[in-house]
Amino acid sequence: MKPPKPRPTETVELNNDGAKAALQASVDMYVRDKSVPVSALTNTQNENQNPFIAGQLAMMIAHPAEYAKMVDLAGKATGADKAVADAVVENMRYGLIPEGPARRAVVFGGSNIHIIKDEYVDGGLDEQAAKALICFWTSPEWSTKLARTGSNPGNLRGFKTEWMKERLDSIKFLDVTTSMLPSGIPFPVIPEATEIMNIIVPDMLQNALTEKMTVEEAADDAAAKVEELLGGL
Amino acid sequence: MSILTGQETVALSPAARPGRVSLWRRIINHRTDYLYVLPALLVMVIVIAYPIYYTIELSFFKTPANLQMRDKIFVGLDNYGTILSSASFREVTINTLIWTFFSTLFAFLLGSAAALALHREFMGRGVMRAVLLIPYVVSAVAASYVWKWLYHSDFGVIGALAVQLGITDQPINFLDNTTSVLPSLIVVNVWKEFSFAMVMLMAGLQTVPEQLLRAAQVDGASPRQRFWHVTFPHLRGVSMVTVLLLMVANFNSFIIPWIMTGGGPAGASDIWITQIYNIAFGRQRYGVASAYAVILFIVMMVLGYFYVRALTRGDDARAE
Amino acid sequence: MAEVVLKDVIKNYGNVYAVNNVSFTVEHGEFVALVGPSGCGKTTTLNLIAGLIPMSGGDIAIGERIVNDLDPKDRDIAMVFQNYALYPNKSVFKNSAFPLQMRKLPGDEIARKVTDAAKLLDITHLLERKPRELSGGQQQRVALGRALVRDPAVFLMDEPLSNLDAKLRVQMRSEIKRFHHNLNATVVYVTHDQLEAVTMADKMAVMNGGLLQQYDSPANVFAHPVNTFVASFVGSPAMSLIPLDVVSKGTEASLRSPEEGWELPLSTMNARKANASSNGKVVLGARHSTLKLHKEAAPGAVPGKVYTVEPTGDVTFARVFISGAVVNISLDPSVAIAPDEKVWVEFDRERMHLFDGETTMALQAA
Ligand SMILES: Nc1ncnc2c1ncn2[C@@H]1O[C@H](COP(=O)(O)OP(=O)(O)OP(=O)(O)O)[C@@H](O)[C@H]1O
Ligand SMILES: [Mg+2]
Repeated sequence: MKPPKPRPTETVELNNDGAKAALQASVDMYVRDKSVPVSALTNTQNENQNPFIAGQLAMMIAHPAEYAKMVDLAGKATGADKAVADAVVENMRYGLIPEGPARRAVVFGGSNIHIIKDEYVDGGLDEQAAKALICFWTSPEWSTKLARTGSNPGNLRGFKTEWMKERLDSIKFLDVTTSMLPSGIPFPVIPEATEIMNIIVPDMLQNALTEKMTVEEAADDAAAKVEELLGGL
Repeated sequence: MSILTGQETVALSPAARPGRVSLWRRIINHRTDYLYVLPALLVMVIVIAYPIYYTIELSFFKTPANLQMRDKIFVGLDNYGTILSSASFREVTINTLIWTFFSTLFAFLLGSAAALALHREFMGRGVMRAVLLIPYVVSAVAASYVWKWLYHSDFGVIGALAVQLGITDQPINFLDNTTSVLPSLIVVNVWKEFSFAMVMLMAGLQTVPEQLLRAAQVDGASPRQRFWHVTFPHLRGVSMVTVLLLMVANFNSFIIPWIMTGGGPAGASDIWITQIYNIAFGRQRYGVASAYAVILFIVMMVLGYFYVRALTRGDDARAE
Repeated sequence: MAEVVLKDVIKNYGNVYAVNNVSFTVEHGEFVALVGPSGCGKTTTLNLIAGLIPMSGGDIAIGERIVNDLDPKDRDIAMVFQNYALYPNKSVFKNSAFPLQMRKLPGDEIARKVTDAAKLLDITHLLERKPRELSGGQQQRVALGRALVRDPAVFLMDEPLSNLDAKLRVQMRSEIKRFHHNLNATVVYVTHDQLEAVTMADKMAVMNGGLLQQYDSPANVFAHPVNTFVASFVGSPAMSLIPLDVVSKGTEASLRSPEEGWELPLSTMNARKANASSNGKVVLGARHSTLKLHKEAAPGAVPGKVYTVEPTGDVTFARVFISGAVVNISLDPSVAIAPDEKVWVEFDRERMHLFDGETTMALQAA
């Protein structure tokens, strides 16, 4: 294996002032104000769904698909829960993530397509076919269809299709969530993204929120880990 | 082992040094025996020996994240160095020791108490026994999820009860807290496995010879003295085995910590095995994870050695 | 003085009566053997005396004290168990010292008593060993030693020799007897081996099905068994029993084989006994040594057919079919007979036993 190519364009911003300020804001909410539930430290988005439909959570960061999920959960509720769940669905609204000092921003999710190197493919890689598949997959039409209820299309031109219009008409609150798109920041397209998003950043948050580290230390620690990750194999 | 030594030594190879038969001779003499265990041995080689070998091999390599192991780079003992010198290793090891020690201790104590309580006859003993066995037969995965919700820092049943009973005014924070998370997990683990100790010791108690207890009674021993002088020594062997099995299980336990906290928050409940899983399948560092696994393997082998010793102690005594 | 008195003792498990209304008295210094077939309630009786299991009814007194509600440790007894019941993790010394420790005796006194007992039983050199490092006989001695150190009023022993091989058993038998003699101890000794009981005991209590059959000296039990069960249980080979019909002729009487028709005239005394039979049938009992074998018909002899011949060296035992029953006869080894040979057997008119055909009890002269 060849030595990894240097990637000079990448700089680690996880411990810049803005990132630290954001982390500090989380700490203020969780530690100082206690304005978020204790379980927010470890909860995943899915784990917020049940308390939300039970009327126990006032607000959560949610996905465009969350409304459909809530309707589904309300449909399954029984007895006294049913009334509460119906009320929650009835009163549910989407809003935009608030604007920070610099601007409004949200990190995009996304999905990856990997094409395996020729040498690893039994019988050889048909590169043309792979490319064709990607073209099809990321086409305005297919990407809109793929994301029908779940998310927004990956191809911007997908927004101009007739299906997108149909979605906007039929799926509640999609207009609100879609209007957040211009504030979106895509994650750097590097293989290490998963580890950074799923491990390093949550660790940083937990380190700070549990006061195991100061905001400063947690951010620097995370940045160092990212540097190490990018420098390694 | 006694089959292989003894008279055969004399009968088959008088020339050999006394007490020793050449390995080859012994294998030849027992060739059919080997034939009988061969199929089982082959399966073991495939499903156990090879993975162990491969893990050890990988532990000397730096591996790419893409599972293409032919791209791996030999790094000698670097992975071991990385682990042993990493800041988290100390923390995780301490967690592992706390987890293993206290889980084993309390599971054993609780199990012994339950076994002793159930050993006497009383109304509803059978029902009690069945009830106390439930944790052991419940799926660990299901139990972990249930406990996770019982413990939930905002909506947990335990927290709600504590508030309702006026013990606390806030729901108790069990799992979202670096100091209480490990003890809380240990409670679940003890709850889950004390019945194992209970079953083992109940079996042990049943083999305490009635005559010995009666002899002690005639000799003037009180129930407590009968326990100390007859029952307790009799249970020593089964206790050893139980403690060792619990220790092995706890060193290796994955389901409860993984499902309930995944090692968090901020690594406060990370133990070796969750760490290994994280490194391997969260961060795709198969080489480092393998080295970690090898370290764990060595520790387990040491425990295993004592386990086998404890098991075969009786045999040696008889062979004397 | 420590006598043991059992009065109407009952132990039942539901409707299984393990011990049913048993009464007997063991005098001070007496050696009493409890015998009977397996499951007859010997161990249960012993455990009741020891206080290891609660009684269902009756009274037990030890040394003039009713002990019904006393713990085993307060009954002033020591017990020796069938499997020795030595504490496996304790040395021989500690095993023997254990009952004394439980009674909180001072250490030097314990040491003295244990050493004395060890000397008596010749196990001084074994004191530091663990039970599993001892032979069966040695273990048995240690178990005896542990009972001995306590100097109890009564020794209870439950088949203490049954785990030993035949030779060792004979040896230990005389040692226990010797030890009883030296200590002048009261002993209740359970065995299912009637020979052990006969050779060792001053009195034997023969039990069957939870009931006490006979309680008397071995000689009396041997000479005057109260029923066919005791008759067939005591003595080796067992007393032969032949069911026959009574033919009464006034004060005279004879016994007739219902199958073969021959008649055996009885002595006057025996005729009176036979006439007392409740159903006109009796069981004739005879010990092997009282029978004479003839190769030809003889007056007073009844016909039979040889079944097996078992030479043992000193004496040859012949088993002969008489009126459908098997009869044991001891012969001089020089007598040459073969299976299936026709023979005649002469009964000793004075030393025969007559039992009631219905109740199986020994018949008394009316
Ligand atoms: N705990 C019990 N529950 C029910 N029945 C019992 C119990 N213990 C003893 N028995 C019954 O009581 C009877 C007498 O038992 P015991 O042990 O006294 O016999 P034993 O004369 O000592 O026989 P062995 O010579 O075989 O030792 C047996 O029929 C036995 O099955
Ligand atoms: Mg018995």
